[in-house]
Amino acid sequence: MSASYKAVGWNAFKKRHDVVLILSVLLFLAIFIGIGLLRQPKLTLEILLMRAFAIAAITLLHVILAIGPLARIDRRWLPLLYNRRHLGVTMFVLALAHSVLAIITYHTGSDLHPILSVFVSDAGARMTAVPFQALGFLALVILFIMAATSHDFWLTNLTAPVWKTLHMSVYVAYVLLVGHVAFGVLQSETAALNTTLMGAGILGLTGLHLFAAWSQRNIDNDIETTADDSEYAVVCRVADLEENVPLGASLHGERLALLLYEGNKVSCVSGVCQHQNGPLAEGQFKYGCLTCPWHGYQYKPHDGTSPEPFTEKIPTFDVKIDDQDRVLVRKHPNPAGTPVEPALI
Amino acid sequence: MPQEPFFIGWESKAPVSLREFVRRATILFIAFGATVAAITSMTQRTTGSGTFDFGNVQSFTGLLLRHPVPLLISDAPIGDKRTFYLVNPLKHGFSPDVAAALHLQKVTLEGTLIQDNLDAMIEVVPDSVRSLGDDGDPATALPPSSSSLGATTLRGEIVDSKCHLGVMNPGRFKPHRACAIRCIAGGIPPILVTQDSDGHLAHYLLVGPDGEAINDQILDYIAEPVTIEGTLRRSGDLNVFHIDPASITRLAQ
Repeated sequence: MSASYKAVGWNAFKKRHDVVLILSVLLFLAIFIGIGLLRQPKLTLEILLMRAFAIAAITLLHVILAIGPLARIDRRWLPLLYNRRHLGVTMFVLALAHSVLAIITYHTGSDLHPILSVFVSDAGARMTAVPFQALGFLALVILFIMAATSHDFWLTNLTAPVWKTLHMSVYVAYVLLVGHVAFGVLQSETAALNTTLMGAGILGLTGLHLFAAWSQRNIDNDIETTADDSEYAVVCRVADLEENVPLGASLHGERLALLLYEGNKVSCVSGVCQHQNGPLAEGQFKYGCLTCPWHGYQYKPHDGTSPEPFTEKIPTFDVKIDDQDRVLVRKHPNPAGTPVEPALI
Repeated sequence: MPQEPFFIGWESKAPVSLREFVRRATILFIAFGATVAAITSMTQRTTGSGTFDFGNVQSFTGLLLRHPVPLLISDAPIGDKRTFYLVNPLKHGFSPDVAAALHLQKVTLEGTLIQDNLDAMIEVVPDSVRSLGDDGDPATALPPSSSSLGATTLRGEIVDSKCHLGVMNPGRFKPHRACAIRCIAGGIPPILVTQDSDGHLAHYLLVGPDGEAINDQILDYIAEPVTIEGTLRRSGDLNVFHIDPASITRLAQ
């Protein structure tokens, strides 16, 4: 969490993470380029580099897209989610290096503007003439917008829902890049292993996302409420609550996090972190606050505000416990930061 | 019930069990990446044999011809070659006007050698071509006269000669298609590259039925498998394939 903007709010974990990331990327490039030079010394260096950057970028993109669902399936993956934006910016830099080399190598030096050439030179209305470089260029534009707005400054100013929607366009970029690879280099590098790798990547990511959605279906499904209910909905029984571990539910499409804490208090807040819309119901009660599993943003459960000096706040819900030990939550949230007296068990 | 270990990024230390998990996951990702890097690098297709002597500008002397494309017939063989395509820097063919003005004249020029084991080319330094004021003796300077090898149908891929002879390795196939189109549109001589069952390549300079340039008429057939009907001639060191662009047939890949 931060109360002001810095380029990167470094901490020990981030430093270690980025050192390992940079060394891993360099190792990848060294292996690809080293084997390439040994096997085919006449391969043009800029083409070898272009390919090395491209394959490193798309491999990293698969890792980036896998971390989200992996963390939803098994929370032990969450530490890798913490710095995912650094992976994204690194991937963009690799993709940019690939693109600059490709445009200089293949499109400069003719009578046509290089960028225009990307879109029109090899375009045609058949399978073998799909302008795959145009697909890659469009993906690069998306990745650029994402990298440029990756900082929390943009997250705050665009608001989390807008920022999150914008950054979900990584899936559009991924589809474009699959087309870029399938209609481009896979038409040339026809070894079955290459197609198999790309296919495994697509199937693996799709499978992971579907499985993660399936494993979270209980939270995503709305709580059933009857028409004659009052303003409150039954969310669970007291016995269902585990101290300091929030219980997630969804009410009229709105995620909430119900928390038993300090022995006998039950509070309910929005299940959506203000920072990046992280799943607060998958967090824990730490240092007197409900703590988001993604980046450690914290909210006091009785009023949904972050501890000072931080200013984030989320909606709260009225809670009560009936004589059958059922936990009832008011169907409509209070404005963000509204204090609510915890229900006592 | 004990709480499961929980990671907070801004804490100084993560729980031990999570640290161990992250360590293993990181090793797994790195091993995955290293494997992908090795596989994709090892499966790259074998490239051509061409070289581009970039940075090494040399002087060449010989007879300049404008047909079938601008050529220099070198006074002395360089390696095993005497016939050199002439092209300008980047994606531009040799100026037709200069070729017409100096046709059948002995010239000296500066340029950079591009060659593979079949053909050779000079990327000419702009404005370096000088007539030596001697028309030479075409009877001795010219390569053996053009001889017809008859009508035939060839199967291969149309590429630009400059990239394929060595400026880019590989200078063929789909990723290079846009570049080849730009080069051929810019006047670089187009060639048909064929490959026999043993993998040996052959080059055929593509010109029209009367030896005219057909660059603009074949742009839609570049870097794809095609068959072409035409008449084959041997002109000096070059295979020259006289074709009607309408005879080009695109093959399913």
